Amino acid sequence: MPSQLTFPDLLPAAGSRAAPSPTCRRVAAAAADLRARLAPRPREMSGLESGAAIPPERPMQGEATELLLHRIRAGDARARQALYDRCLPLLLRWAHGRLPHHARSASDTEDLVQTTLLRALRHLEDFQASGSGAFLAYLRQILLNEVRRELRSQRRHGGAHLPVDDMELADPGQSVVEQLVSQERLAAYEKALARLDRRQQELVVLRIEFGLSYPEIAAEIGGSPDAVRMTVTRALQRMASEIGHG
Amino acid sequence: MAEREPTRRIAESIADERPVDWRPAERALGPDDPELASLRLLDDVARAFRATGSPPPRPARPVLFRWGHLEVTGRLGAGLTGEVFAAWDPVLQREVALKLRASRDPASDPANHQLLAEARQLAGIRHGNVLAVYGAAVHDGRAGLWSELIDGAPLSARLEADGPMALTEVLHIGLDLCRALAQVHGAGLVHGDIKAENVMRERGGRIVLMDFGASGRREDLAARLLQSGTRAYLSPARQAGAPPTAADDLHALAVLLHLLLAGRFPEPGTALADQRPDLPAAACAALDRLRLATPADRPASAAGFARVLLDLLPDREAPSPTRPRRALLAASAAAVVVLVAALSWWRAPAPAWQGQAEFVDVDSGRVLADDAEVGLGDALRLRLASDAGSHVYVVNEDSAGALAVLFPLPGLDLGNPLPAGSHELPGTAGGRPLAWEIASDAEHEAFLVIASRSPLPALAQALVELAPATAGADGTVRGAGRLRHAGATAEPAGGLDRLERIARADGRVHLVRLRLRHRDWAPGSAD
Repeated sequence: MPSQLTFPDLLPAAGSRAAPSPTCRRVAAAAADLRARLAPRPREMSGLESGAAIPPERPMQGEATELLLHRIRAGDARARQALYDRCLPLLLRWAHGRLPHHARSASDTEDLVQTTLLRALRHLEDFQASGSGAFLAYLRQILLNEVRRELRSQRRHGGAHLPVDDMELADPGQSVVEQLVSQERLAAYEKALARLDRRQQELVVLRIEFGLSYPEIAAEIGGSPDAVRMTVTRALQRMASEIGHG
Repeated sequence: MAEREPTRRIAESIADERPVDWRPAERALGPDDPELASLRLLDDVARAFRATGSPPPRPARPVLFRWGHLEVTGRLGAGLTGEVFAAWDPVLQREVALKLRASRDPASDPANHQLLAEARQLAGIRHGNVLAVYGAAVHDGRAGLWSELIDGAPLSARLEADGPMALTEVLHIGLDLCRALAQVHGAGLVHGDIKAENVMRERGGRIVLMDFGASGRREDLAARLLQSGTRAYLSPARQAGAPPTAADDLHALAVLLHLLLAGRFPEPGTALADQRPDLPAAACAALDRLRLATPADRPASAAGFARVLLDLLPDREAPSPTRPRRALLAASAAAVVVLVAALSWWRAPAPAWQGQAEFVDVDSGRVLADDAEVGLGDALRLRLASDAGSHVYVVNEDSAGALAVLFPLPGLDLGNPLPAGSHELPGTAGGRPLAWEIASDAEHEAFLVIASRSPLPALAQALVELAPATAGADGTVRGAGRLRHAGATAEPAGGLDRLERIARADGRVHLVRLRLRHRDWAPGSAD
């Protein structure tokens, strides 16, 4: 039965923050056929003030990584936990796209990420010695190396066996990003990335792969957001030129 | 240094996570510039990482059957050689299209090997205007190929519904197809079956070339010679039985462009200008040349073909309503492939107009995908982002067919035109944030969002008729905080379709449609 519309209602704000006003409820109850209405929801508007995209989770808030690293070296266990908590979701998100899926289960990937992160936190001197300025970019490299080694060893040992009638075309060693972009093209990206200088590499990784904002990157590795943006732009231009003519 | 400017702008857009406008650079550097191709790659990579960062929710549809790792949830269509299904890919975390061969004897069926071979070739191609093939396999004795799922309609359907298209729109479709063919030919492949039925126009405007694999086998050719519609695309050489070449793809493209402009296939001795006297003579002549010249006399490559089309475009394109948006990139999974994403993006008619629209559940913050569940009392908002001012209309229809205008509304602080930037609709009234609240227990709710650069008078009129009682009709006072309308007549089901038609007739618009299911609904509960 088509219902009569009493739409829209624009009702006065209620005193309480959470519930619609009593008037509002009464109107809704009275209009049994009311389908949709505008109800004042006096709460904070969720963000969209600045950018077009939906703001993702922002685990990068709080103290700068630099500071946390400093505190960890001084033996502060809470700082270690804070850094772990900050890096883990970002790394997991990244790993979901960038590490092969067929070859491992989701929980294997999580284990690998967690183990890698814990080990890196226990051996911070390696990070220091690596000369890297960005802890996340450093972790990413360790993870990639780890997976590549694993894939190589799998190939040496004949790889995973598939049922005879399952002629799977998709390479079991491919990650989601590889499938989306194609393996060959992602390899070209990696190659061009590797040819950038260290700082540019790190900025590109943090921006493009981890999706950190310019201010977040600036807080991570120093410099101003504007400078970060300019460096990323230039790095991308250089990569395009490398790939295009290489 | 001046030559670097277009690439710098593109790099900046990629870095900023903004949609890229490739046109200025294509004009400056040429459509086949290797650096542009590299920048597309970088854009694809960036989008792929973004897409995997926030995968869309799995649609809550029952699984019909499993094929390999895919969970098949619905049948989209069937043809002579097999069926096409919608399926959930748990690895890619998105809906995909799965084409399954009809044959159940994979070992002896050469077509299965052909399908796998085709997939192997296509899997290497990633371009926004080419259907992205993710993989192929044989499972349970059935050969299948899975690819991105396009939410849209083939150009043939569009032509049938709306008739001949405007020149600018056709030129842009042509350019997109040239980009697609440049990739295909560059990989050493030939499409072999360019026709209106094989070019999809995704909701949001992306042009996607699909259905490869007209391989030039004798039986394929014989079948196509029998169908007049298909025959018209074949070059004289092909009709004589020659295997398909890249030049034949370009010939078929020229025939397709003629068809889109004239509404019918070219006939011998007829020029395009005879069928479309309203078009500039020079453009007609150029398009006729592309179609009729011998292979030696017309551009040999898709890039050359594109250059001819680019020259036909007005230099400074006015924000004409006929301008299709740039293609979204296929690899940019999030933006394109999945239904949810298709719902949430549009590309605009005006050169740089790009935007995003998505419904959000206020309490949970989750973005509502098509077929998501909502319940009584749920509050929704529409997140909009647009890089240009726009006129936006939001209409709601429940399963009983009753329509209601959700935006614009009297009393709201926001109104049309909305300035460029980000907004959350319905916005505020007197500074107080508002949301739409689900207050019915119908089986489902459908939403239609219409956005346009220019006002849509006919649509606005239809909306007024729909909910005639705006402020004042029942004695309410605008701006005093209490506005009630009553007495809108219920439309028969399909009312959103009617509004969509009105909007489309009004001008070039961008539409987002979303259908939500009521979790509380049970048959009879509405009584």
